[in-house]
Amino acid sequence: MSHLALRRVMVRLLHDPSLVARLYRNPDAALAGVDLRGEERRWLLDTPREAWGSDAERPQRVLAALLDEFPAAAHLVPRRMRTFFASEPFHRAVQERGSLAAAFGQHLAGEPGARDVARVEEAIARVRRAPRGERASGAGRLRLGAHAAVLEVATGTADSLPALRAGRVPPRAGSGREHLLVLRTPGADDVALEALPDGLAAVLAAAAAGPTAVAALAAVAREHGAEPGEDVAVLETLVVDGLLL
Amino acid sequence: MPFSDRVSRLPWLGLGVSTEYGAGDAPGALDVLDLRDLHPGWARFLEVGVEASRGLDQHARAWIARDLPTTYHYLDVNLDEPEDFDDEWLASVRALAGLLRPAWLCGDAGMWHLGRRERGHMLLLPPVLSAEAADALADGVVRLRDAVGYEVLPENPPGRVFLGDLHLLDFFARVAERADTGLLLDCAHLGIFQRVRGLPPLTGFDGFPLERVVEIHVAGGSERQTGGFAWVDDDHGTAVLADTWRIVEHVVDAAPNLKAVVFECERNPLAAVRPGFARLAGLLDQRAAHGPGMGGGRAAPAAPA
Repeated sequence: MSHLALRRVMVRLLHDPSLVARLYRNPDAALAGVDLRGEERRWLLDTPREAWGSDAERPQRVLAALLDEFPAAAHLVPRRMRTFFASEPFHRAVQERGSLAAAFGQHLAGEPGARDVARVEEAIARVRRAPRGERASGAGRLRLGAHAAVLEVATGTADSLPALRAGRVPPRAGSGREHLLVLRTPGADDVALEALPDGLAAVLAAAAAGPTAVAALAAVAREHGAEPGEDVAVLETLVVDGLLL
Repeated sequence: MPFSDRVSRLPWLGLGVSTEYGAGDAPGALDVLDLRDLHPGWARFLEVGVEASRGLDQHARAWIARDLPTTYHYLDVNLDEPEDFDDEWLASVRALAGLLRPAWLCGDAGMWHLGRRERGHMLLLPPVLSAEAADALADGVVRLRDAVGYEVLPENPPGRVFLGDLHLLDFFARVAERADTGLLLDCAHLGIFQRVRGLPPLTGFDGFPLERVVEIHVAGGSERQTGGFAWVDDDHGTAVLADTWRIVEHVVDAAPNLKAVVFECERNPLAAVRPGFARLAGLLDQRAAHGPGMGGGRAAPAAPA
């Protein structure tokens, strides 16, 4: 399937002038790690160099689609956006058929001033894309549904989002940390944020790693103060709520 | 049933117009129902550009509420990537096709999204023009046709960079043969390809199976330059390039199974699109009088394939 690998290189070249420069200067280095045949490499190099940059608005169109989901982080670090197409997350997402939204969030989160806001917006984008109708885990195991995510962020991060999305100065973030549940509403695209107590966050975070033994999750609940019996009841409630599958 | 038999069951649609989500809301955009009322022969059907996650806008819904013919133009599938055919997307396509009751599905057979499917991407790029890519694309056409029960007509996408050792028409001839499918030939996109490759507009038709062409697209474009590299912007304006008209005239005259012609001009006001529609209508009238007989076949929406 090297034609797909080639087309993905083509996409990267159409968005990243620095890769174009590297391609013509040192093709082996520019194409390292991409499985292309000799003739496919020649097709790239035979292309007039100016052609790659002829659609100067293309990157802006991609950014416009991404900004719909990252308005707050983009407001915080507008210059960071412009370097997305030269970033490793962008190139990896295209070449490996990953999520461009996730890559954009990852790139924005690389700037300390936007780290937690970008992580929250990336989680919102991720749960929005989660498959509908997920199946339950195997017997005796539970996992966090893909329509939900748990994050630890600076206190006040969630409260800052509305102001940032509206282009206003947000309230000052606290010095502590808080846990957030990012949850897609069943049957809709709406995503809600909810503050989580530490114990509940720990259980959900453990389940986010993948199907986990119920006994292990109950142990996490007990470590955070649940009484015997209460630990299992907590898990049952999370299953009824659709968070654990 | 082979394509040669299936094509006879497809309806004749004639001259139509296209739309996509929100296009009719833009200032100065064409009102497709107004066009239908004023010039029924120019808007016999509506080609609805569909991104399944967005669904149908008010203009498309108003059209189907009048039980008028449609085609379903997908905007969100990379046909040569098997991962794109997930159950959720296919269910959405089936549901939307149930509303539209299209004569067939069609759309650019290129790369609509970078990475996995994302809402709002619609950033079209052409396939690599190689035998391997043609075979993968053909397999995707068959997969979609089998999954939704409608004919699927792959369309040649636009581009400024075309990689590969095949001529675009040889590439789609191979797709058509392997998938045993009809084709949508976008004459403006073909003109763009010929220009990029430095070829005359009718190059490559000698070995091309024109009997596979069921639908054509016509659209305006603008000639541009970037640092000495000449290219054509597929801007869907009203200025149809001379190369495009040459291709249109050739295909309308010689494609025996041509059943639909779309003038892609939905973002322009009615006054600006009249000359293009009038010229196309004239070509189709000529064909009906002297050509291979467009105008035959059923005029009602088709049943699923």
